[in-house]
Amino acid sequence: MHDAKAIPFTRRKRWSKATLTPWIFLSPALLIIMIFVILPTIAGVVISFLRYDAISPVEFIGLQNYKLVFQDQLFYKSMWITFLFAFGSLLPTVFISLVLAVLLNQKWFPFVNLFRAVYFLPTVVSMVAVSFVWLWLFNPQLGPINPLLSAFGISAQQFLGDSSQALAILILINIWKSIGFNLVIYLAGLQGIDNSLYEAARIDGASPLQSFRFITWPMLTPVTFFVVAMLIINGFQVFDQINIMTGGGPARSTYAIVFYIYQKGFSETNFGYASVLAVMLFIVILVLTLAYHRINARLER
Amino acid sequence: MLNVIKVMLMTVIAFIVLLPVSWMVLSSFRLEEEIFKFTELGYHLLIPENWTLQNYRDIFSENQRPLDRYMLNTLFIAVTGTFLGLLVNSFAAFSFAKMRFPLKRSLFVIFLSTLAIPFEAIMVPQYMIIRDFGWLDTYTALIVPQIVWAFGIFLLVQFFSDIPRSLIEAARIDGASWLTIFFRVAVPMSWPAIITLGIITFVGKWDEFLWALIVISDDAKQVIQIAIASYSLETYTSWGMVFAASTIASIPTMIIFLLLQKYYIQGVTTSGIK
Repeated sequence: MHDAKAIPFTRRKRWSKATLTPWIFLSPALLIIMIFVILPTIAGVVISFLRYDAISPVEFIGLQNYKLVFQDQLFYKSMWITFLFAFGSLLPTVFISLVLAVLLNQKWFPFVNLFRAVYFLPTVVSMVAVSFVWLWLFNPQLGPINPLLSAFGISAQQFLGDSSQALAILILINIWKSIGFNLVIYLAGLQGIDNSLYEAARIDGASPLQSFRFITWPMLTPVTFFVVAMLIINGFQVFDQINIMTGGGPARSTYAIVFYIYQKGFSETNFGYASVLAVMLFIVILVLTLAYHRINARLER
Repeated sequence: MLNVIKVMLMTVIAFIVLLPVSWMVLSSFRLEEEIFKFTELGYHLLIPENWTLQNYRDIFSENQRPLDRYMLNTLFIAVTGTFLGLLVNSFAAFSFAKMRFPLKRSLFVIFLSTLAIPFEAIMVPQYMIIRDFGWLDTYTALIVPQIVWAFGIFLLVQFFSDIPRSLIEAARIDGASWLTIFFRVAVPMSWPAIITLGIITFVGKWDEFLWALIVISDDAKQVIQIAIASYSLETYTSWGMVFAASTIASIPTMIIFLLLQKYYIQGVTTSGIK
């Protein structure tokens, strides 16, 4: 080899301090992400092809778990419940946060900080605490909501004990808890809009509704996209309130997918089937993420 | 007239937001038997009849499971996790934003693609890895696996990218090491992002429930949210203790948000709009 002499030189250069430094900065993160994110992701897919439960020995069973999952009514149901939860919370949260942000963002209104702090309050209370508070408020016999309803002439309800109401109540609580965070983001977005735009619109005779439609809403598109993405991701991860408030019931009407994975994996110790469910969740999130980028790219163009 | 309607609407929503939280805090000062005593609409539905600190005494003096132990456990996990998280993520972000090395783009794409993998989708194999490492029932299990957060790296890269290259080159010529540049130049110019990440990490750790439920079974090592939930058993819930513990558990997060909300808003907004 005629350039044999060059090899030691380049090798020395390659491992000099300057080329090593980026790796020193990166390696802790790289190591952790490899071991605790990439490896489990791959392992999860591998396990989904195994029979891996507490009873029988671990065994490769090919697509058997996938066959089961596609025949599993509870799987479809839990996915549907998760969709309902995520998308049912989405529109009201965006709408209320945006309206409140617009209302708060008025020059004549002096209590912006006070109101913002009040609306933000549910964000700082943990989901566990929130679950217990609402569990009590919605207690059919002892909670205060039934008396409140009877004041309006509505008969006593079973709330979380009623399979036609439980999920709606969880959605309601989710909206209640999410408004503050999203409102703060919208408010910051509103404050970033150049005031001269509104003045120009006013001179042209635009009504407040028109200036919202043609200035505020389009200017807030990136904020809305961020808010929507966060809400959908959070919606799909719903677990704490289900575990505390309903245990997936009544009649499995609040059996969301993460709760199902948890039950299969950690109550029944069926890692194989839990992994198939997790792969399914991953695929759904992936499709949503791709769709999101598609729409986002189209809007930016 | 329109403004009156607006303020009324805002006030009504403020009450809807405020009432459940007030109910929680105020009921923590009631005796157990008083909590469910008032079921008719009226003054005492919200305001305790006999104010008492009994619930607070109870949660701290329970022999087997005093709340202060769980608070300290969680505080340790949250502080260590936040500190390590900030260090590891900002190191990685700094190398992505300001250094040149092979495979940089591909590695960055790998990091970003983990954003589409929710923790819940990998919690089963993650649990098995933790188990095989012998980390079950250790704080390590609650701290290490979640140190890297791709969104945080993404946010920090945006901030670090705004640092002028000339500034860094000038510092390099003056003989400053990369570590010096990182701590003296990059970090001070990115406080909003770093504080935002710190808040989100700390609060996330403080409110952690599901992962602790999976990897911790030793009662002495449990975290605060599980401790709160454990006052509620299948047969009986000590509501007074649940509310007292919930109130106390909300105080740290509340203080953090109140003190740092300015930076937080700045940081979250930048990430949302950029």
